[in-house]
Amino acid sequence: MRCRNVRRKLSEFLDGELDERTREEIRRHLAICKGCSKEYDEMVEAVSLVRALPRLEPPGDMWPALKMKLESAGRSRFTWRERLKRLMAQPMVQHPVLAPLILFIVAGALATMGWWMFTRSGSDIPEMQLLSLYVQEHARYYSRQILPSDPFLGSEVVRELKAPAKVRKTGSSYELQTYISLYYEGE
Amino acid sequence: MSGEEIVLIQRLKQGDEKAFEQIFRRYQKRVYNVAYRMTGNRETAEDMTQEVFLRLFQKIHKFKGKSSFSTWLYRLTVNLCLDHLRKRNAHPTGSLEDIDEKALIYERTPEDDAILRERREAIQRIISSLPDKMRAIIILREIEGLSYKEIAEAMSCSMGRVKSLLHEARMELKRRMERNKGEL
Repeated sequence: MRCRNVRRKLSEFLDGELDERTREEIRRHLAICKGCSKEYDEMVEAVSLVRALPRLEPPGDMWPALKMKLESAGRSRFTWRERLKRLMAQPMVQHPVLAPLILFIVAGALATMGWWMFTRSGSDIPEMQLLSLYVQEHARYYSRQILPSDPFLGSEVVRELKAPAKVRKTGSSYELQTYISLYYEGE
Repeated sequence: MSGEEIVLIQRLKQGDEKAFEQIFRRYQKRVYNVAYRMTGNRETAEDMTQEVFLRLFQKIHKFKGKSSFSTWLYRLTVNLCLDHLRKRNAHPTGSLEDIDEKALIYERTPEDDAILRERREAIQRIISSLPDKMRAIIILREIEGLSYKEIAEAMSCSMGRVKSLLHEARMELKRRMERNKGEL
């Protein structure tokens, strides 16, 4: 084996990472080559000095400071993705029976709530009872006349109901539109 | 990994602070030693140790158990230290003069005297003067005693790269020690 090849493998030779045949070749080479032998000895000495460095003891108890940092950092250190991953790592979320059951209950509750809101009739809302009466009267009054472009314009009841916040809150905007369209269709 | 360690990691994944404390107490010395040898400064090493464990708490869900937990932790430590060194090299504020072995707390050694301390300071200065990746591989191999495979996992590189980098690092270490022979 040539010096160049031997020197390239000295590090692995030192760690015993070579196969027996290569190791033997290098051993034989080192026995006869002063240059490579010196190179190897110097490397071993350098490595030995580093290996002899003692382990350091950490200064005092670092836990209280770390705990404080952990608390002050709090959950703000986690991105939404990381929070989700942590949540998914919870055993309850991964449970084969509990997880689908919880999902089913939550989905059922949401669906029931949605259905209740959807089917809630306008007549349950006092304002809608008023509006209903008004529309009935209005329709009766105008049933034989040509309708103006906005039959409800000027009406106190409608003006009140048309107030955006209130209308949005009670959901009466939708009901109002329905009455209007029904009214026109009727004519 | 021992069964106890697996349970601890599982508890940590669920955010259990007690498990986190146990893991911290078990591994803090290793992390602190790597951080000190990488940065050459005890205060920075302390900060880095805390940062490593905060990062560990944050990223534990990414640990899938493909490597051993300690190798994964070494990887976290080396990456953070290399990041720190990159930033420090970009905006240098301190110097290798920060190294003060007298202030360090060693395990009890009978021969702990002034000459030995000076020698250790010189060795640490030489380690600190190595290019970052060479420094990392020397610390992982010679001080922490990791196998080639563990180093490859900790440094996210191939076994071939570990072999060549370790060889280059040892040769560089040897050259620098020869240059500073008088101090050793």
